[in-house]
Amino acid sequence: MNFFVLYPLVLSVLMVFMVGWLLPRAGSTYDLFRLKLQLYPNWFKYFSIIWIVITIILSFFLSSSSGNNTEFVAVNVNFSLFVFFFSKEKDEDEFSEQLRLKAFIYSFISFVSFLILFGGFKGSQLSIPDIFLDFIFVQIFLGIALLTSLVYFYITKYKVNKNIEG
Amino acid sequence: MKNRLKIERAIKNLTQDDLAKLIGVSRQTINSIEKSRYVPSTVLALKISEVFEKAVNEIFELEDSD
Repeated sequence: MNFFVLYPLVLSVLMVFMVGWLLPRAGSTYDLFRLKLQLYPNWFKYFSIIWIVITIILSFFLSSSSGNNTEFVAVNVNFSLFVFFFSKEKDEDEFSEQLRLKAFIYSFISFVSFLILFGGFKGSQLSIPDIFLDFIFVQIFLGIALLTSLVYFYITKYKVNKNIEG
Repeated sequence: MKNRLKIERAIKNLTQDDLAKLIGVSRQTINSIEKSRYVPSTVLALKISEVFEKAVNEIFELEDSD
């Protein structure tokens, strides 16, 4: 099996495991007050950075062999951003939990509304560039949304850190 | 919501870091509460009141906008 086929397969298996980790363990309850989001441990942040580095290195080989590596890079970068975003901070507490939730909500709103807007444009037969008709566009926009969440989160933390007393 | 966290810390001679360690949160959390950027949960407010040995409403106070 080609390595560039195997790598996304490994990613898919990992993703099933990762989602299983995040999802509630409390069985069939839909009571959000009883559910607690199980974040990944802090070291998963390093894992996601390593995954991005490996992806970038592999993408160079892929571009020289097949010429098209955009989707490969987008999927793997999205996976890394997802893991990074849902990993605990070193000093995780209710404050960082709330920050993460707010950052996610704002980027989710922009992601969903942009896709609805795009769907409307597409349906109304307006001329839009070809890239927007491809699934890769959704992948890229998802990546931007995840990146936006991280930027919201860390800018707020940075601003708070600036005011901290020694 | 107003709070007297900074004053209470000064009375007890605690830094933000000391208080953060005592109640098991980050320094950012204490700083954000002091600057009224973040409203702590009831659990956290009670932990803070235990450290300062004062009732919660002696440390935190509602404002007209709340």
